[in-house]
Amino acid sequence: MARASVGRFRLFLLAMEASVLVLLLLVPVLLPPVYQIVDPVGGVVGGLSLDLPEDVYLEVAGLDGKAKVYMDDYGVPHIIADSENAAFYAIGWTQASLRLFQMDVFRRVALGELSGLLGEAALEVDRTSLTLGFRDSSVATWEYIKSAEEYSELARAIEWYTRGVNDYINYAVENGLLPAEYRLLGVMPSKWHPVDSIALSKFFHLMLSYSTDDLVLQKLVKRNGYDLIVDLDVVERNLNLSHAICYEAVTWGEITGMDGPFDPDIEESIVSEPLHGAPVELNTGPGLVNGVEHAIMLSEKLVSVLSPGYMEASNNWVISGVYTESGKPMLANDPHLQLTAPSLWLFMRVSSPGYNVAGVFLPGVPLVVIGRNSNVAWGFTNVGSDFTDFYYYDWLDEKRYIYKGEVMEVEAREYKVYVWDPAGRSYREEAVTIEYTIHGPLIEWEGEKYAVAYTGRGPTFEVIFLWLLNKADNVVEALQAQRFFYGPPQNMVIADRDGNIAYSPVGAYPLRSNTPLIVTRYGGIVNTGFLPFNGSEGEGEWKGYRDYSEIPILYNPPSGYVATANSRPFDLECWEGFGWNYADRFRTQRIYSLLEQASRDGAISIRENMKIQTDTRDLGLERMATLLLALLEKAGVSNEYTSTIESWLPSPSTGETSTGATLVLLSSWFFAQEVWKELYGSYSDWRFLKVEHIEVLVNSYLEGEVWIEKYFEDGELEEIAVEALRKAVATATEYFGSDDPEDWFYGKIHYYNPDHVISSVLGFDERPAPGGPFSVNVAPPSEITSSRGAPVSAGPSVRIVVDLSESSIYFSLPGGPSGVPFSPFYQNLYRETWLKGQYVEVEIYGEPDARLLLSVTPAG
Amino acid sequence: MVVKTAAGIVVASLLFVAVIYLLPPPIGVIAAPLSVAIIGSIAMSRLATALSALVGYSLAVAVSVPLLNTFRFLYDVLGPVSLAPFIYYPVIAVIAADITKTISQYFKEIRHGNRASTN
Repeated sequence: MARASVGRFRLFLLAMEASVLVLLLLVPVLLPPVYQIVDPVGGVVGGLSLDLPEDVYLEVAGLDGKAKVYMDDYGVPHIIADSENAAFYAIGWTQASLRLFQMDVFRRVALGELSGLLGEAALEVDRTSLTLGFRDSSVATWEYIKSAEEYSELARAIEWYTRGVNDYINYAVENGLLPAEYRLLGVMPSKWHPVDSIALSKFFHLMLSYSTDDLVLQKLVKRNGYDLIVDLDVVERNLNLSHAICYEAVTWGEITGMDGPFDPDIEESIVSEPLHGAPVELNTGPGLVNGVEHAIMLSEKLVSVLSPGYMEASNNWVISGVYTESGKPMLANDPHLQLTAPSLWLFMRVSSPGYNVAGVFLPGVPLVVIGRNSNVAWGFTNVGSDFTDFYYYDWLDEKRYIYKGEVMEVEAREYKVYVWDPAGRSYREEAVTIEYTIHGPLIEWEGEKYAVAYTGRGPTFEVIFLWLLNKADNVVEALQAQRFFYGPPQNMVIADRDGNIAYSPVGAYPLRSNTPLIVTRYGGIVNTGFLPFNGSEGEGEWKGYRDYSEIPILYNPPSGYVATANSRPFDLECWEGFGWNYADRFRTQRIYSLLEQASRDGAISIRENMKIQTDTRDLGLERMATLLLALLEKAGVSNEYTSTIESWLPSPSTGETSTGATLVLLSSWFFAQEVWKELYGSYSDWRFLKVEHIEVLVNSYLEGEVWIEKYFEDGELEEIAVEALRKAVATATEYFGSDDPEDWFYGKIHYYNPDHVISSVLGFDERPAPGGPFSVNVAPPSEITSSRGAPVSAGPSVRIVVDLSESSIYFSLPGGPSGVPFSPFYQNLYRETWLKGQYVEVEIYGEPDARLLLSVTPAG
Repeated sequence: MVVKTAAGIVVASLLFVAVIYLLPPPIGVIAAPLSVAIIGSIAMSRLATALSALVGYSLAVAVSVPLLNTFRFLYDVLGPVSLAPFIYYPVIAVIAADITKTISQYFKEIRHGNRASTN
């Protein structure tokens, strides 16, 4: 009897255990989130190490030719196609296979639909894009291109590209190849739409030109008076160095025989529904468990990527064959943007009957942005002028304002936004209302309402510009393509195989009417857009853009070369009123001095161009060190730290083992911040202050000029210098755990830190960052603290060098082709080339000796 | 005994890896700890069985991605939930091994009982 009951008890226990086991085994089957976490192959972990597709064979209905995609040892895709449609299909498929999530983020930023992917915290980014009307204008642009006969080839290219992207999305879903980011967010990638590729130009607009600096200047002026604009030389920038000289200039119209900009009659309507529909839950996605916190972080990172601020700096130059080893022109370009993981650009080469191009693509755009074709090479830097104006009003109430004596009512536009909840795996709809005055959409800045006029707001045609540029046969055709370029104006350098070179800053420069006079004690100055306008008085209204045909450019200039680095394009004689917000002169100065030296030493080689791009001498830091020392000497401070700065100056290295550079960087940083705080009342927006402003202030102070007393009392700047040095020493001492400046190795505190948008663990390796904020190899710290040191999160986003005598292109990228975090091609180019100052050479002709990724043929 | 346990852990964890990679999802997720349980029920203690599942899972991760960075990333994004596999697989393996042991014990007893009654 007892034995039977023991047996029954054992049976009961067994049944219980079996039930628990079955339940546990069913959990991942029934609950996809658990599956994603526990499965190291098909779950999130598997998404971190996806292999690149290999030898994929596709038959595509309706295609009129074949394409093959090869991948070389660096993972660089080479697309060889026998029809344009096949080429663009393959470009779309390949880009998506390498960077699908990044493409998704970019397009959604531009269209104001990021919340549908990342959730609540991305709403602010969406609001900015919707305020600037990017969704409406992108749709209008695409509708125009699609319907215009002369652009049918381009429309077809975009449509085949779109199909390639969408076929890859299907392929990834079917084969369990969706990137880890989707698995984490628990949401499906939505289909690519042709408008997405158009909208990506708006992503660039936002990154390069949208700026609230006018408002910062206004706040500065309110505190200090209008005289400050003249005292600090904010607008004229007499210390700045122009890229080019007026007497060598011709006009764009003289060379191209055209006028511009291209200005078709396009009707723009409000696109209130999101293009990408409601988010669809990924069946095997877990959702971010601590989603809110991460979504906030994601949003902050995106906002920092999109803020032009301190990283809007780039270099390019073009050299006539007269000065080069090969006898043909050479061109170099390194645009400075946020360093991210994966990197912003994707290098590809495409050969088809109509295109033979190699260069960097923005994932999501089917055309080369910077690179070369068979005959022409091109590159860009940002003009960094003033493309955003603000208007304030006399308000009667929340909705009514005065305009030229009349009462006007704001117009409201409503947009729908889907907000994905990664944790709850659901979404909600949010209505975003954007109010408009007669001058544009309203924003709020520090509690005040302003209407915004912005060059990137309406329909723009960068995609037509790129298409024509990719097909250009010579410099003149490349210049003609600029007719479709609305901005933000770029310093474009071009060279062709016939030996021509050109520099053109053509783009959309607003024409303002009724610009008011500002009274200073030096006389009146015209507000050309550097300060907000009184909208109620009808000040500063835009009347279109300057006629492109009258904009100065250089075409085969007698000087033989031209370099640009975001300082003023031309001297004021032919560049008055175009803008004011230029970068300090130091990179321009350094590049010119290196080019002059190289041309004196003999013919310039490809290697010489690479050496200039990776040059780390920082003239700006040297200037700051000199100014600081002068103030410290005046303050009677002399110690081992001032000696460190003094001994750094004669051979001012910013290399990994330099110790003096650490103290110079830190004390310059804190000095600039403290000067700004004195002028502005807080540390916010301090990067508005240029070294050239500081030079004006300190030099005038040291020379005892009277006006300086309005800003700094006697002895005050010395105190600030002493305080900056104290802060620098304290920060370095805590960071290094030593107060001996001999231990403060620059490479240990000043390091690259390319970050991933979801988690810093997926960022690239931390490595010493040679150079400084003003060196040609620019390396500005994003912050300086005793805990993190001086991490550098911006720099050359690609380095490109072209010798037009060759059929190849040299490049160096801070990131590999793949966006899969643990792929061998994720940071290979960063580690193997970019950090070492080395370049990869890519031939633009012939079949590469590489492995086959994809083979596409027409179906049937 | 130690050698036998160590050998058991090695075999079971390798079996875990092989099963999870060879069988399609989600069958691999179910079958992998069960395969460890079979080895565990034959030759290992509960602790060794749990350890085998743990090592097996870690190896399965390490096959495709850097182990520590992956766990750091998962913890960064998912928080403590990312530790679920470290509990999930060992618990399943131990329970399944227990059941297997009990059933095999039961059949052993039946066989013994039959033999005794025949004698």
